[in-house]
Amino acid sequence: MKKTFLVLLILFSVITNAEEAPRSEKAETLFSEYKDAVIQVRIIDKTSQSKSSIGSGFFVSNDGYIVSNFHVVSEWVFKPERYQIKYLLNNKEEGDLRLVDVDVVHDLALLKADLKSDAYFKLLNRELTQGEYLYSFGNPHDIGLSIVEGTYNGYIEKSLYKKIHYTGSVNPGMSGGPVVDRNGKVSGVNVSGAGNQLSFLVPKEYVLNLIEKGQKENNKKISGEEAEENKFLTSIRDQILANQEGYMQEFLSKPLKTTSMNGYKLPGNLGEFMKCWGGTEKREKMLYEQTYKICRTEDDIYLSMGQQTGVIEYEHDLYKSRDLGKARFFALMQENFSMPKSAAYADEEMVTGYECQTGQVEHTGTKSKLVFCLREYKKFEGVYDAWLTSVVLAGNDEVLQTSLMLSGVSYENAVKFSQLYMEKIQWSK
Amino acid sequence: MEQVMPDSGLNHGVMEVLDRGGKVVQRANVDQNILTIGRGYDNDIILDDQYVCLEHVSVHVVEGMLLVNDLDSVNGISQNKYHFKGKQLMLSSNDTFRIGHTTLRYRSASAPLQTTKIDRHIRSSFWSLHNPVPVFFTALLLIGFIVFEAIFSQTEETENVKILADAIPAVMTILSWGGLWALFGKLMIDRFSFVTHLGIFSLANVGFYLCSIILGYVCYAFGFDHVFSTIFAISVTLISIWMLYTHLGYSTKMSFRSMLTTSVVLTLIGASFYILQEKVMESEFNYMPSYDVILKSPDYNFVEGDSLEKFFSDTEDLKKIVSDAMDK
Repeated sequence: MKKTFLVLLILFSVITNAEEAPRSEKAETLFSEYKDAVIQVRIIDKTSQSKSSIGSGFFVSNDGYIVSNFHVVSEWVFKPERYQIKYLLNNKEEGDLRLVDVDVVHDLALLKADLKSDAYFKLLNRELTQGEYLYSFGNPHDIGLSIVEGTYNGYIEKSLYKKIHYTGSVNPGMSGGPVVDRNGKVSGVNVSGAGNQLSFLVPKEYVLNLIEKGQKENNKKISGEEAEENKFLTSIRDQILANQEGYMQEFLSKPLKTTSMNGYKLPGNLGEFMKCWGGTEKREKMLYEQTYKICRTEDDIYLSMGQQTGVIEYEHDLYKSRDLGKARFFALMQENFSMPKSAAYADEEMVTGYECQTGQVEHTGTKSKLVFCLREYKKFEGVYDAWLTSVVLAGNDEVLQTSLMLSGVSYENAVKFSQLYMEKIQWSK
Repeated sequence: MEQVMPDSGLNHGVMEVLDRGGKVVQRANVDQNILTIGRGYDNDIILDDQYVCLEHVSVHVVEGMLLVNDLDSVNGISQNKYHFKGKQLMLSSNDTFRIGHTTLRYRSASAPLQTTKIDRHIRSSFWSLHNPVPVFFTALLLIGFIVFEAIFSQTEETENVKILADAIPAVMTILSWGGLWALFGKLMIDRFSFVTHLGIFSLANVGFYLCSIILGYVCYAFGFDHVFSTIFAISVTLISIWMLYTHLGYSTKMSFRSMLTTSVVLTLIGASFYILQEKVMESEFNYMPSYDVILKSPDYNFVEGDSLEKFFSDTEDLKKIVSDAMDK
C-alpha cells in the first residue's frame, strides 16, 4: 500500500488525464529512430528489491550520460542507504545508474550508466516558434515507452524561472523524458503538467548547463558513497541559497509596489511571476464581512515528497464588524490571528518546528501586533522558512491583517524583506 | 495548639474500651475502688467478647498508675508483643492492653484534651456557601458566563434557543458535580449538602472565567501576552486547590492539614495530566507556527510599540533558538 502510494505520488507529480494526441508520420519516424535513447529510471527499495518510484530519462552522449528530473531521483539523494537508482532500456536490459549532478531549481538531474549507447539525443541549437510541433518521449503509467505529439506555446509568463508551455499530454511516469523537434533535437524535458494537455517543460539551456557542469564535476573523482551524498546535499543547499539571493536582491533593491484595499496602502504585486486573486465574504446572516487579496508564486521547487520550497506568498484580510460588538469582534479576530492560514508544508525529517517572536510595533503612528516565525531546513543548514503576520490596532469595527510567507531563504533576506514588507503598510487611511 | 487540663476531682482517670479502628466505644471512671472487667454481668466493665472470662481482670490506681491484675483468666493479658498469665501489669496514661480480642486504654484524669473544634458546618451568614440565595446567584452568574461564551463563538445570526441549547451540557455538568460531592458527603459524614457543593463549584468556575477575562485584558493592556498562559495556569491551580479543599471540608471529617494536602495533591495530579498532554502535543510535529497573542479593542492597549528596526534586530535571538533546535 505504502509503495503504491509512493509510486503514485511521483507519477502524479507529472500529471493527469488527457487524451492522447494522434500520431503523425513524423512521430512514427522519430520513435523508431530514438526509442533506444530513452530509458526508464527506477528507484529501487533495497530491502524489498521493488520499484519505489519511476520516471524517464534520455542519453545525451554515447558514453552513458543520462538526463532526467531531480524529483525522479530525490528519494535516493536524501536516503541513499535505502534506495538504489537503476535504468531499464527499451530492450529490457537493466543496470545501475550513478547520480553525477543536480539542478534542483530547474528540476534536472544528470546520471551516468556504465555502458556505451549509440543512440543518444543532441540539444536543439535554434529558437522554437510558437505552434511548432514537438514530440515528447516517456513511460506513461509504466505501460511502456510512448511518444506524444504536441505544440510549443512559448515560455510561461507568470514564472520566476523559464518554463516551456507545451500543449501535449505528458502523463505520469514521463517525468525526465525528452521533448524533441521534428529533427529529433531536444528542446526541453518533461517536468510537470496541469491536465487537459497543459504541460510544462524545462528549457534546453538549463539541460546544457547541467551537462557541462556535471561532466566537469564527474572528472573530479570523489570516492565513497557517503562523500557523494554529502556532495549533493551541499550542492542543493548552495543552489537554493544562490537562487533566493538572486530574486531577493532584486526585490530589495527596487521600491516595493503597493496596492490599495479599502483605502489602506499595502504591499502589492512583486512582479509578473506572482499570481494574485481576491474576493469578499459577505453573507446576509454573517455578522462581519471579510475582503481578501492573496498573491503567490507558483514556482515551487521540489525537494522531496515531504517538502517543496522557493514559495513567496502574502495575504491581506480586511475584517469589518456588522453587528458583532467590540468584545465579540475582537474575540473572533484573536481566533483568526492565532491560526495561521497557510504555511509551507514540510515533514519533520526535513525541517525544525517553527519558533516565533511576538511583539507590538509602532509604525507610521499606528500600533500593530506582529508575529515573526522561523524554521530551519535540517538537511540544508542556513536555509529557512519565514512566516510573518501582523494586525492593526486602529479601529473597533475594522481590522486589517496581513501575512507573508517566504520559503527557502537565508535568515538575512527573510528579515530584510519582512521589514521592507512591513514598512510598506500604511495602516491608516 | 492550646491544651486544656480537665479538673480531675475524685476520678483518677478513665478506662476506655476501643473498637478495631481505635475508636472509643465504652468508658468507665476509675476512682479509688477496684474495678473488675469481664464477660459477667456483675463486672464494672462488661465485655461482649467470648475470649474474655466471666471475671477476667481487676484494675485499680496505685500512685497515679493503673495496676492491672489477671484474675487467673483462661487467655491472660497481652501488651504489645508480650503475653502474661496470672500476673500484674502497671500502665501509665494512654497505655493500652488487650484481653481476649478487646483492646482497652487507660487515660489519667490529668491527660490533656484538645481544644474544642469550631464546627465549620454550623457557622452561618448570608454569604456562606450553604445559604441557597447566594449559591443560586453564583450558579446563575456561572450559567451567564457559559451562555455568553456560547454567544461569543457565534459569528452568524443564530436563534437564541440554539445558543441556550449549547449551554445545556455545561449546566448539566455543574449540577452533576454538585450532586456527586453531595453523595460523597452523605457517604462520609452522613450529610447531603448539594447546595453547598453547587455553590463551591459555581464560585470556582466564576473565578476561572473572571481570571481569564481580567488577566486577558491586563496582559493585553500592558503587553504581557507571552506570560498570560502561565499566570492563568497558576490562577487555575490555586482556585482548584481552594475548590477541592472546600469540597472536602463539607464532605469529610479530615483535619485541615489532611484536606490541604489532599487538595494540593489532587490538583497537582490533574495539572500533571494536563502538562503531560501538552507535552505530548508539543512533541508531535506541527508544520504550522503557533504563538500566544492577545487581541482586544485598541481602546484598552497602553503599550508603546517598538520600532520595526528594533523588532527585527531582536530576531537574532530567534535565529539562535532555531539553531539550537537544529543541533538537537
